[in-house]
Amino acid sequence: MRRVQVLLEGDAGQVSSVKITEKIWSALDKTITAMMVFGAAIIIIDMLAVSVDVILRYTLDITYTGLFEIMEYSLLWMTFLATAWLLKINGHIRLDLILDRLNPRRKVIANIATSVICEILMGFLIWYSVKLTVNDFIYGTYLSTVLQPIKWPIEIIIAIGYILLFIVMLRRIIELVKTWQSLSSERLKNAPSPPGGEMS
Amino acid sequence: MTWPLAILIIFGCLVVLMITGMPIFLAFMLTCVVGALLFWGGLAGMEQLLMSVFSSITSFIFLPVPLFVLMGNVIFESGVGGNVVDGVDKVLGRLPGRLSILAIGAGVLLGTMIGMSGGSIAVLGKSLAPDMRARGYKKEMALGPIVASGTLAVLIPPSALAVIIGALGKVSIGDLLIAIIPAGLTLAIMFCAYIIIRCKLQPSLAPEYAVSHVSLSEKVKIIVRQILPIGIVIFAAIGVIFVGIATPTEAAALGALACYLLAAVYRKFNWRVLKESAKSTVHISVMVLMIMTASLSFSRILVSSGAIAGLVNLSTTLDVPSIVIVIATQIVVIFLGCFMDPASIVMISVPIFFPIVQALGFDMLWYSILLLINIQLGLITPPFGLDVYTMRALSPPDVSLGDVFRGSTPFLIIGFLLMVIIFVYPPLVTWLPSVAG
Repeated sequence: MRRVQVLLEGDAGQVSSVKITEKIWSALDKTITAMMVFGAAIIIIDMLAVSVDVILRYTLDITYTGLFEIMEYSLLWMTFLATAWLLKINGHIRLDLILDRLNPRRKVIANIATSVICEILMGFLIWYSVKLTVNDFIYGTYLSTVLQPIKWPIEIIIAIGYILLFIVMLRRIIELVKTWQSLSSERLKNAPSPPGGEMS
Repeated sequence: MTWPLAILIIFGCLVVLMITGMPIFLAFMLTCVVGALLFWGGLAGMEQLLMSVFSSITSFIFLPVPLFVLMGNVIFESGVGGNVVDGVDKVLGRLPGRLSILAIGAGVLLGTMIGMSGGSIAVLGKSLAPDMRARGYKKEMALGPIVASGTLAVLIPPSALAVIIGALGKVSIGDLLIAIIPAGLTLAIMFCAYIIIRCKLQPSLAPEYAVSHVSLSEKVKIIVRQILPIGIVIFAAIGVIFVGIATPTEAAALGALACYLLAAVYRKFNWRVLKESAKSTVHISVMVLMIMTASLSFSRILVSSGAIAGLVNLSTTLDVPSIVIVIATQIVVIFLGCFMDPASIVMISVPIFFPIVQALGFDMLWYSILLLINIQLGLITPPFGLDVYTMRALSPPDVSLGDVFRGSTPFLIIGFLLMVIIFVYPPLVTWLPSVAG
């Protein structure tokens, strides 16, 4: 009786940990989508801001000289805000000439291998982008441009973008490993039984 | 390290990583990490690499990219693009390879509203490709003309690439935009001629289907309602540059706004159009810009390694007639086009080749057009043809990258044929700007 209770408690613990994991992934999904929406909003705001600037310049002779510079930074933000979302929906361009010729199991293995390499690369990029941002924060680096803005609030999005790419890639690796496990177990089930296998 | 060895390491690394199916921007980035470690002083080069990511993406030359893409997406999402395609469809009679010709014709019209090849491919890839497949068109006759329409988008003003070349090469942007018009139209005619001849010889490539009869008065109505309003966008995106009201980035923003206004005039503007056009723009722009962030660092590493200088030395120190040197520079660009994005090629080739060609006494407008076509054709050359990847991204899963490359090959050859024609007959591109004064 006690043994059954322990088993039930173990199952309940497992279920709650699965729920927590699901909640974390769900929150992450929402964050990534929200960031993409911000990226999309940046494009529309850029379009309106530039159009208004042109109209005001030729009607009221009013213009804002720093607009183009802000647009340059917004381009960086838009790109790195939405890059994790693009990876999540598998939207980044990849060469699939060779992968398409592999059987599903080998394709999954190849995907796991490349994803692990990407993960290591991402770790490397996170380290150096964070280091660069922290250095610029400590030294109060300014950009020598018209607006002369402080650099770190602009470049911090590179580190954030890479961190989110890292997490999305990690999630993909976990899913790929699960797929590989299910394909492997299917393969074992479909494999012909050895002579006398059923007897033993 | 010798430059041939540097090329071998860099491109070897890139090709291997691409083949493994890694996202292209990460393949580029990893190659850049290897390059930075080798040619930028080991780990110290990593910080330089990250700074290069920052400086490459915060560049004004990329500003029109999302705005031109937005123009195309508004046209598509609102259904205005479909209107244009539908208008041309009704005006167009019964022809062999009709839908492929429609792709080229609509590509010319869309080219006046979309300044980036990817945008035109996005509109036609989403609107025409499914219809082509449904009517039994073979993959090569369905995919090839749509990818080719991307080439037309760059050779019909507004053209972001032409503006970049003109700005960096100090060639009149106005002259350049006028000069590309006959080149673009000639290319469209050549594409159509190829499609008709090929479909006559191999009718199974594009099965014929019944086309409903449209009277002349109906055709006039269609032109007035569905094709002429494009003029508003043409003025906002091109006219304002010609009359000196706006810069290309401003023209791109005005063009995008004009597209929204056009959609509103057709009563097709709503919250969904705004949301979906912005979302699709983020999709395509980020896909392209993430590669650009890495590929710019990549081109800088190529320069640092001495590979670019070595290639240039090889092609310019030969004791041969000057025209051969010009051809050699174009061959180098073809080679670069196989691996690099247009912006990186422009940034490397213009500062190196322009002084040489100018010193040899050639017309820089003529050379700029050749360079523009060549770089654009690089977008459909394997293994790194960005337009081909865009088309693949828009296609159903059964369409492989190889299918798109195979479909694009005849159009790539025709593009090179146009370059030969311009090479032997420069007035094709120099005449119109001289008349315009």
